[in-house]
Amino acid sequence: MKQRILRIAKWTVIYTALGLGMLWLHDPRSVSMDAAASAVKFVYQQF
Amino acid sequence: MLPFADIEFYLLFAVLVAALYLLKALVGRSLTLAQAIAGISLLYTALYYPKPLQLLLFTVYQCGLTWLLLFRWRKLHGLIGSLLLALPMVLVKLDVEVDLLGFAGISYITFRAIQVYLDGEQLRERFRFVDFIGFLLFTPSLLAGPIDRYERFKGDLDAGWSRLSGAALIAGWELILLGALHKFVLAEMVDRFWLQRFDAASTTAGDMAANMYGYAVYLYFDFAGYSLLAIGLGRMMGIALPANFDRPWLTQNAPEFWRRWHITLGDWLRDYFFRPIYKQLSSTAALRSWPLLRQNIALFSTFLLMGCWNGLQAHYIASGALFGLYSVAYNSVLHRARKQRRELWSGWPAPVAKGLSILIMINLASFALYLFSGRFPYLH
Repeated sequence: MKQRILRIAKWTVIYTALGLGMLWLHDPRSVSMDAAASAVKFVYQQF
Repeated sequence: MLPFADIEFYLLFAVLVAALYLLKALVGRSLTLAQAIAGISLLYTALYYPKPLQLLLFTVYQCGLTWLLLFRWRKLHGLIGSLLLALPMVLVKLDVEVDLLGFAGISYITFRAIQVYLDGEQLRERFRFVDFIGFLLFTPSLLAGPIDRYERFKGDLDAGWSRLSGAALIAGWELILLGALHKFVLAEMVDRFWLQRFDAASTTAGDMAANMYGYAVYLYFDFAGYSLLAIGLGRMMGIALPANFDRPWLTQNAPEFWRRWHITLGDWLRDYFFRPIYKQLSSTAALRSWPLLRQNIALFSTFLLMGCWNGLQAHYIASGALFGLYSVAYNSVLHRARKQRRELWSGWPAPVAKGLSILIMINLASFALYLFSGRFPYLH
């Protein structure tokens, strides 16, 4: 029971942080990682 | 469409995963999971990956050459075979202007092909082209890893359609959420509210420290986030890609750092670069009575290679060399302590020694990553 409550609490925090963070930091219609040093962009920029 | 960074990529991925589960339901008896994975990976590569012609030609090259090396040219020295597999990647790294060679992800495909070749003795009997193509081009890990191993990947394929289940979808979904939180929220916040507020060219101590720690935190959230996303997407497709990060900021020394940071690259370099070099050095008569020197040469070369692999710019090479120096220094101190039959940090209370080790390593790793970032104003 305790484990279940902890799991629900953990995922509530994660969903809330992710939801609020995405709304605050990104345009929800076009999620994009604009930071110049992003690992994905790092690989892409080489080509 | 930028993989892992645009919403279109995730929508496309939802379609690919749905297609995989649909194939299981409709033609699961006549089609294997391995064939479906290879087909979907090829489809994604051909239709959506940038420079698909280059990637497909490179895949043909790797498949043909790996088959020749495994089954026809068995007596060829491992180093020569590996160099042949790595040749296109090396030419790209040397900035040779051949448009047919360059595409994103060339290094990671090369690493996977070399692993299959060098582990050929154990894998030859189990080698199948359809598995190999799926292994090389597996969509979630195509761009930047994690670097899986063929025998582990094939184990998932051989388990068949049972790998696709509700539990796999839930596990994958949870990893994707964690990855998104790391990459799109935490890394973005560090970048926007920390890194962008400090001038990277500034030479004041405060700005340099802010850039150094900020970049280390940013890179961790960004790359660990990407890795979690890739692993989560892979899990949804029935493949359990290996973990790439394991609390690296709790590391107590340089070698341990690379067992916790970009784990699959560290493991690959240990197995397919460090060990062969160390073995070669061990058979060199002049070094036979110098085990510590052999280890240190192999360690430093491994990290230097890693720096060069990122690019032949001074900041990448310096970063790799610095990680090499850290490892050599730690290895030498440890060797000396063992010779004197004492523990490192002997005389210090264990929690204090552990805390200090972690603190020192955080600073050393952050500085090496600062060099790697290209933000260090004295090194361009």
